[in-house]
Amino acid sequence: MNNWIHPALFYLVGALFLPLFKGALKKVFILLIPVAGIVSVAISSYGNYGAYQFLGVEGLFGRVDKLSMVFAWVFVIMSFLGALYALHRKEDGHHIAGFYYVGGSLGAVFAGDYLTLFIFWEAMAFSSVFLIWYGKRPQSVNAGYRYLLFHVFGGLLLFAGMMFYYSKTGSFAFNAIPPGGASWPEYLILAGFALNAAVIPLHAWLPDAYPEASVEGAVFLCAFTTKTAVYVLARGFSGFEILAIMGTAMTVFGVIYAIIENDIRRVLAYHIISQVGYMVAGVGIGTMMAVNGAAAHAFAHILYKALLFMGAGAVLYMTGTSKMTQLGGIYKYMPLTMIFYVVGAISISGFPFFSGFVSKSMIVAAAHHEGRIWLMLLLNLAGIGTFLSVGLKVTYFTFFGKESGDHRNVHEPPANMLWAMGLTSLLCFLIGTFPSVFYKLMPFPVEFNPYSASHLSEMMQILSFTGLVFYLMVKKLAPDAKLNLDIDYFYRKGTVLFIKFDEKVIAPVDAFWGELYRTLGLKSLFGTATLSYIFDQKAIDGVVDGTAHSVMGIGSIVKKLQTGRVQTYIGLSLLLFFAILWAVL
Amino acid sequence: MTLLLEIYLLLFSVLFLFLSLGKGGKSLFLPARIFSLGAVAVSLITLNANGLLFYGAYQVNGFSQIFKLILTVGLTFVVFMFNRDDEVDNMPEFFMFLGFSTLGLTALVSSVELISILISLEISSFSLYAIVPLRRSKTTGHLEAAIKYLFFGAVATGVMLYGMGYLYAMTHSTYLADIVSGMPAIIDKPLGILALVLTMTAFFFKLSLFPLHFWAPDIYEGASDATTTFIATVPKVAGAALLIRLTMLAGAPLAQLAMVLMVLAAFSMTVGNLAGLVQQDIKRLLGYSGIAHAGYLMLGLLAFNKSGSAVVAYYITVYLFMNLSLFYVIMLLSRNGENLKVADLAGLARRSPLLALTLAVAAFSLAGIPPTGGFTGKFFLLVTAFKAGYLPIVIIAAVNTVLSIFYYLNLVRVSYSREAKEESPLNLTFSEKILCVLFSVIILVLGIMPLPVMEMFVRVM
Amino acid sequence: MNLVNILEYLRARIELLKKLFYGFLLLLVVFDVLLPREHAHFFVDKIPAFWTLFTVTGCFILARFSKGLAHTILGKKEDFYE
Repeated sequence: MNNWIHPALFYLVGALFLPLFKGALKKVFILLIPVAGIVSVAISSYGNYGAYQFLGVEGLFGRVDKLSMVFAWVFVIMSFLGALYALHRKEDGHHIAGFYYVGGSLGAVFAGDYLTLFIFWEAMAFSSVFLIWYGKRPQSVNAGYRYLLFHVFGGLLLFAGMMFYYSKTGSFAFNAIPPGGASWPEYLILAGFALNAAVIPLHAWLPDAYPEASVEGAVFLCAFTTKTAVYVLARGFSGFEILAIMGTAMTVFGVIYAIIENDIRRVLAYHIISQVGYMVAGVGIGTMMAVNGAAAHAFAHILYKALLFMGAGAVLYMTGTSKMTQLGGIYKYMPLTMIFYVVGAISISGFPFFSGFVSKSMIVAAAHHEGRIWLMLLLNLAGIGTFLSVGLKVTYFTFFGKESGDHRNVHEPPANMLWAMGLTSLLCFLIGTFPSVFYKLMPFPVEFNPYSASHLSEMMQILSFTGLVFYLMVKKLAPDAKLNLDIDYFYRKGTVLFIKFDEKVIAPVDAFWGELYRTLGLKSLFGTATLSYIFDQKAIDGVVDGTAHSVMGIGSIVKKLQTGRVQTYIGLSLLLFFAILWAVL
Repeated sequence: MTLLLEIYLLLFSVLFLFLSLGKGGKSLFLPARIFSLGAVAVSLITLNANGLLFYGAYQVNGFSQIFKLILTVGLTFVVFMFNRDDEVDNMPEFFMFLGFSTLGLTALVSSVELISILISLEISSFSLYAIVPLRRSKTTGHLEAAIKYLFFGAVATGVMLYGMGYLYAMTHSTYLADIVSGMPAIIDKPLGILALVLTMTAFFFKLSLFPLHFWAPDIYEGASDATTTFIATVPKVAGAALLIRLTMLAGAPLAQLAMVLMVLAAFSMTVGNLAGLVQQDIKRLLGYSGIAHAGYLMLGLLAFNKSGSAVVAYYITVYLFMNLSLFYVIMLLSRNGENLKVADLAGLARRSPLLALTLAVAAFSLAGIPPTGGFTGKFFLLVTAFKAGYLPIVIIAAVNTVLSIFYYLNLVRVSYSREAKEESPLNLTFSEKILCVLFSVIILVLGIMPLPVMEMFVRVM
Repeated sequence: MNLVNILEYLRARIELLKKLFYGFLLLLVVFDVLLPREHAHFFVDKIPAFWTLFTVTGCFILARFSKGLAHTILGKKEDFYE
C-alpha cells in the first residue's frame, strides 16, 4: 500500500467539527479523532509524500521512515489517552487546542523541510498556550504569556537559523547535519530546537508554565513539545558532543529541583527536564544504540510521564491542591489513583517489568559501551534522584505520610480519568515486560537485552538502596512550602526592567520632540518666531473656517496646540527624512 | 463602462451632498450601507475592465481594478461598522467626504501620470482633512489632530511635487510610461533615486512610515473612531498600490533605493514597536502599530519584482481586515464615544466572548501569529526580502515581530484574564455578530489559504 | 474498600516489612558480589557491589546538596514574583 494520509489532518480538520456535536455524541467524536489518527499511522508505509512547491521552495509534508514513525506512534496513542483523560472537560476550546497541539507535533515529526517544520512548530506553540491558559488562574495566564514569548523567541532562533542555513546550502531540506560541518547557522537551529527540548539554560519556560496548565492540558503538554524537539534533534543533530554533555547536565539539574520542589506538578515538570536530558544525551552520544535509546525513552517517557501528570492532576482535581505540604494520607480516599501513580513512578524509575527499565537503560548502556563512564555515572545518579523525588518523595508525602488539611470528602476522580490512567499503566507494564515488540519499532536494529543478570543487579541495587537512603533521611526530605528560583528569575525581573526602561526612556521620546524644539531652536526652520506665530494664526484660522464647522473659542484650540508643535513635527520629519536620504545616497 | 465605479462614487458623494443641504434628522445609515454595497457590486462588475483614458493619463487594468475592489470593500466595511449617530457631527457630510475620499483613492490607483496622481491624491486627502474634526467630543483633541494632519499632508504633498519636478526635468514627461523608458539613463545618478524617493514621500505619509509618522498617533487618538478606522485602513491600501507602482518604475533592483527603503523600514518598525509597547490608549497604540506595519510593508518592495509586489498587495489586504476588525471591537466597546484604554478591555472575555475572540484573532494577526493572515503575510514579506538578499532587514523585522507580540498579546491577555470593572454582559445585535465573525473568518482564511489571493495579485502586477 | 484494607494491613506490620527489606538488600549485595566479571571493562563493572556504594553515597550527597541549595540561595517565599 503506497498511500499515506497525514495523521495531522484528522486532528486539524476534525477539531473544527467538534463544536457541531452535543452531549454523548461529542464524547464519541473526541475519541474518534485520535482513533482515526492511530489507524492512519498504522496503515502508513515508508516513503516520501506530499511534496510541494511554494514560493520557489521545495517542501515535503510527509517523510515517513522508521524514526518519524516511532514518534508518530506514541503521539497518536498519547493523543487518545489524553483525550480520554480530558473527556469530561466541557469547553470545546480545550479539546480543540489539544488536538491542534497534537496535529502540530505530528506535522513537525513528518516534515521533510525546515519551512514545513517551522509552520507546525509555531502552530504547536500557539495551540499549546491555550492549554496553559485554561488553567484559568491569574498565574496560569501570566505563565502562559511568558511561555508564548519564550517559544516565539525559540521560533525566531529557528527561523533565523534556517534562513542562514538556506543561504549557506541553498536548500531547506531537513536532514542529518554532520557534526564536523556545522557552523553558526546550524547552531542557531540547534538552539531553537534545544529551547523546545528545555535544554538548560533555555529550560525555564517548562517548569514555569506546565504546573500552571489545566489538569488535563498538562497531560498533553508533558508529552509533545519536548519530545518533538527530541525527534528533530535525533533527526538533525545526532552525534553532537555538546548535546551529550548538556543532556547529562540536564538529567542531574532536573532531579535537583525535583527533590526540592513542593508542588507535585512542579516536581514532575522539573523532572521532564531530567528525563529529556537522557534523550538529549542519547542523541548526543549518537551511536545506533544511543539513538535507539533516545527514541525508546521518548516513547516510554511520554506514557509514564503522562501517567504521572494524570495522577497528579487527579489529586489536584479532587483535592484542589497539588502542594505536598497540604496533602498526605490520601491513599485512603484515592487508592486507585495512588496505584496508577505508583505504576508511573516505578516505570520512570526503571523497575524491572516496567517501561523505564527497558528504555532508559539503553542510553546508560550506550554511554557505558562507548566508554563514557562519567556520563554513565551521572546518568545513573540522575536515576537515583528520579526514584528519590518522583518515586518516593511524591508518593510518600502525597498519598501516605501525615495528613495535612482535611481531605475526608475526597474520592476517586471521574471514570474517564481512571480509565485513561489504567490504560496508560497497562501500556507501561506491557512495554516493560515484552520489550521485543517495542524494540521492533526503533529506528535501528536493537541488540540489547535489558534482562541480563548484571543489568538487573545494577538497577535493583540502585533502586533498593535509594529506598534505604530515603527511609533514613525522610525527615530531611520533607517538602517546604517555598518557591525555588530558577533562570526565569532573570527574564521575569528583566522584562519588568525593560518595560520600565521603555516607559522612562522610549515613551518620553514620543513627547520629546516638542522639548527638542525649544532647546535646539529648530524654530529657525520656519524663520523667526514671529513669522511662525503669524503662520499659526493665519493657517489655523483658515483651516478651522474651511471645515464649515462652527467652533466655539478658537483661542482655546490655539492654546491647546502648544504653538509650534506642528511645525516641530513637520520640521523634524523633513530633517530626518533628508538626513536619511543624504546618508544613504 | 470602464469608469463606472468612479462615476458611481461621485454620485454617492453628490447624493450625500444634497442630503447635507437638507434638514437632516433621518438616519442615514441604511442608505449609506446600501450605496456602499452598490459600490462593491460596481467594482466587481468592472473588475475585468480595461482601457487607457484621458490621453493616456488614466489606466484601467487588472492592477487598478483589484485595488479598487479592495478599496470599496474597505469603505463598505467602515460604513457598516459605523452605527452611532452621536459620534460625529454633520452625518451627511461625513458620508459625502468618505465617498469623495474613496473616489480620490480609486482614481489614484488608476493614475499613470504624475499630475493625475497628484490631483487624485489631493481629492482623497482634502476629504480626509475635513472629516477629522467632525468628532462630537468634549475635548478639542480632534481639532488639534485635524490641523496636524492637514499641515503634515500638505508638506508631504509638497515634497512629492518637488520629486515630481525632478522626474519631469530629467525625463521630460509626466507620463509614467515615458518615465520608465527614460529611467535607465538617470537611475544611476543619485538625483534619479532622489527624485523617485521624493515622489514616494506622499505615500510614505499615507502609510505613516518613519519619519513621516508623527501625525499618526495623534490623529488616531484625536479623530472619532469611525474616522480613524477609515484613515487607518483604506488610504493605506492606495498608498501601498502607488508605492508598488513607483518602485516598479525603477525596472530593475536598485541597491540605493533599496537602501533608503530599508533604513526607513528599520526605523519605522523599531520606533513604532518601541513606542507601541507603552501605550495605554488603544487607538494610539494602533497608530504606532501602523507605523511599524508600514515598515514591514517596505520589505516586499525590496525585491523589485512581481512576486514582491504581490506580497505587498497581499499584506496590505490582510492589514486592512485585521485593522478593521480591531477597530470594530473598539467601536463596539466604546459606547459613549470616548477613547478606549487598554485597561478597559478587562473582563471582555466574560462580557462578550465573541468580541474577545474577534479581538484575539485580530491581535494575533497583527502580531503575526499562525494561522492568521498576519503571520502568512509577514512570513511572505520576510521570505521576499530574504530572497532578495537583504538579510539584515529580515533580522530587524523578526526581532521587531517579537517586540510587537508583547503589546498585541497584552490586549488579548487583558481581555481574557483581568477581572472586569463592570460585569454587565455586552449584547451584540445579530448584524454586529455577523460582522465580527466575518472579520475573523476573513483573517483566518487569508492566513490558511493565501495562494488563490496571491496568485490573483501576481497575475495583475 | 479492599485495596485500602490491604494497605492498612501492611502498615500495621511495618516492622516485619522493614526486616524483609533489609534482608532483600543483603541478598542484592551478595548476588552482585557473586556475579561473573570476565566481561568487565571499566571500574564500574569490576568493583563488587559498586552500585550499592554509588547509590548510598550518591543519593545522600544529592539529597543534602539539593536541600542545601533550597535552604540557602534558591528558596524564596511563595509569592516572590507577585
